[in-house]
Amino acid sequence: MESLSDRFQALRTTIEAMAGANAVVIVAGACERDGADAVVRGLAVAYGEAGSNVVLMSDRSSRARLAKVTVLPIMSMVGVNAAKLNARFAQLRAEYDVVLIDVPVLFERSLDAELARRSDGVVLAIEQHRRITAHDSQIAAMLDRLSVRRLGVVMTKPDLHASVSVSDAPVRHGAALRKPSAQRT
Amino acid sequence: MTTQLRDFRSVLDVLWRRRLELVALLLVALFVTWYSAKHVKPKYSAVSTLLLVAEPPDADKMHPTTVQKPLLTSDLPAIVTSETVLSRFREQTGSKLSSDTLRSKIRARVGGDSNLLPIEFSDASDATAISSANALSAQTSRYYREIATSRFDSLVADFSAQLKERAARLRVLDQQLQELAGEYPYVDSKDGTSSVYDRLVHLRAERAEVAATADGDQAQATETTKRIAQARPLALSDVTNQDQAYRRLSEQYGHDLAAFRHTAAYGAQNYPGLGELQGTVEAESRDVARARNRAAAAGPQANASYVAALADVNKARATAAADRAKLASIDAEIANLDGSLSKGGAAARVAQVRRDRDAAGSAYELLAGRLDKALADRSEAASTGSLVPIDRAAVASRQVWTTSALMVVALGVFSIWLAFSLIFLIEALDVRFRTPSSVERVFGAPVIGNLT
Repeated sequence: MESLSDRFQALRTTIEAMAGANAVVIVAGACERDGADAVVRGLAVAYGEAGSNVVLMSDRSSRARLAKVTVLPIMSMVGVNAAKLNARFAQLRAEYDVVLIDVPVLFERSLDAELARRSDGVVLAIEQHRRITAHDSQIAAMLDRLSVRRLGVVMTKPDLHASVSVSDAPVRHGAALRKPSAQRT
Repeated sequence: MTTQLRDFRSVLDVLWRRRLELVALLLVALFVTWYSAKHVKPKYSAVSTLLLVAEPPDADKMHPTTVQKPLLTSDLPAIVTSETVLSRFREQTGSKLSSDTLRSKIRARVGGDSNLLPIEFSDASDATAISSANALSAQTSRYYREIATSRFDSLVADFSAQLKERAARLRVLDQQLQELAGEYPYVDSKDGTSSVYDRLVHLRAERAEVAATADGDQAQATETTKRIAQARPLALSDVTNQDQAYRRLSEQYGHDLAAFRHTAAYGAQNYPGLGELQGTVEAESRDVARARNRAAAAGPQANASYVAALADVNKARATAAADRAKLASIDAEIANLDGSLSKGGAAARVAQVRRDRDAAGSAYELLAGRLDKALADRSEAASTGSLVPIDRAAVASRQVWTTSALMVVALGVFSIWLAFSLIFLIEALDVRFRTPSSVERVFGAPVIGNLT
C-alpha cells in the first residue's frame, strides 16, 4: 500500500504540473476539521524533500516543527495595501520555488480573498465523510466570483494531522523576506 | 465495468456503514411478517363442474337451421361472475357478501377447446365452500339457459304484439264488412255486383213461374167460388129438407093443399068446410114458411158437402193469396236489387274492404308462421346449448398458496425492501463528502489527492 509520504509526493507532482514554477499555492480547508494544516505541512515537506526551495506561510504554532521548509507568518501581510501585497508576492515568487499558504478556513478572513486572487491556485482540503454544509457551497461560489483557479481537492481523514511526518531538523525561520539575489547566493 | 464495481462497492459501503440501522429495520420487518402470518386464516376451495352441451362440429350440415350457441365458450367465466348470477346466488344462499368480494372468491376458467367449466369457490369454511360452489353452478346453468332463450323471448314478444295488432285490424275489417253487408245486403263482399245480377235473373225467372202459378191458383179459386155459389141453394135445401119439423109441416101442408085444391076443383059449393080448409092451408103455408126460414137460418154450413166445398174455396183463395204475396215479395226483392245496382260505389267499397281484409289475413298468417318458427327455435335453444352440472362439489381442499399467504410473503418482501430503502433514504438525507464525485459536484474541482 502506498505510504502517506508517497501520496504527498504524488500530490506535489500534480500541483507542480498544474501550477508551474514559482507558484503561489493556497492550501485551505472549508472548516477547521478538514485538516488543511496537515496537508500543507505534508506538502511543504514533500516539496522540501524533493529539493525545492519552499516557503510555508502559516500562522499555526506547529509550523516550527517542519524541516527543509521556510516558514513565514501570514500576519505580516495583514493591513498591507494591494501594491505592497503584489510586491511581496513578486518577491516570494522570485525567492522561492513554491510558496504554500496555509489557510485553515477559507474566506474566514478578508485577507484570504486578497491572497486567493493573487495566488496561482487553491488546493482545498476536505475531510472525507464530513457532512456537507452551506458554507461549502458559499466557498465554491466565492471562488467563482473571485475567478480563483481551483487546482483540486485533497481528501483527508480526521487523524491525518498525527500521521503527517515531522522532523526535528531546525526550522529555517524567515522573519524577513530576503532579496531574490541573496536567495540565489 | 469498473464503474459498476465501484457503485456496487459503494452500496456495500453504505450497508456496512448503516448495519445497525439495517439490522433493526430487518428485525421489525420480520416481526411484522411473522405477526401477519400468524393471523392468516385457512382457506378451503371446492369445485363444481359444468358441461357445455354444444352442437357437434357438423351440426350445420345436419341441421342447416339449427340454433347456434348464444355465447362463446371462452365467455362462460364472465357469466359465472356476472351480477345476475351473483345476485341469485345471494338469494339462494342468504350470503351478505358484496359482488366484488364474491368475485374474489370465485375462480372459473375454461381450458383450451374444452367444454368443461370448473367453478371453484374459496372460503374459510369448507362447508360454505362446497355449498357455494354447487349453488353457483346451479345459478350459472339457469342463467345460461335464460340467455339461450331470451333472444327468442324478445322475438316472440315482438311477434305476439304484432299479431295482436293484426288481429285487431282484422276485427275492424270484419266489422266493416258486416256493416257493409247490412248496408248493402245484395252486394257480395267477395264478388261485388256480379252475384246481384245472377240473383236478379234468378228472381225474375222465379217471378214468372210464381206468376203463372198464381194465375192458375186464382182461376181455380174463382171457379170454386162459382161452384160454392151454385151449391149454396142446394146446400140450403138439403139443410132445410133435413129439418124434421119443416119436413112434417111441409108434408102436412102438401096434403092439405092437395085436398084443398081437389075440393076446390070439385066444387066449393059442395063442400062447406072449404073455407076453413083454405084458412088451414094458408096457416100451414105460413108455418111451413116459418119452419123453412128457421131451418134455413142454420145456413149452408150445416151441410157437410157445402162445408167441404167451402174449404176448397178457402184453400184456393189462400193459395192465390200466397201466390200474390210471394209475387209481391219477389217484386220487392227485385226492386231492392235494382236499387242496390243503382248504388255504384258500394261494390267498390266492399271490394276494397274485402281486399284489405284479405291482405291483413295474409299478413296475420305470415306472422303467425314466424311466431311458430320462433317458438320452435326457442324450444330448440332451451334443449341444446345448455350448461349442465356434471360434477357437484362434495369435498373442499385446503389451499396453501392462498391470496392471504401470498400477501404475507409479499408483505415480508416489501418489508425487507422497505428496510433497505429506508437505509438508502437515510443515507441520501445524510449528505456527506463520501465519494470524489460528491466533492467535485460541490466545489467544481477534481480530487487530485487522497490522504485517507
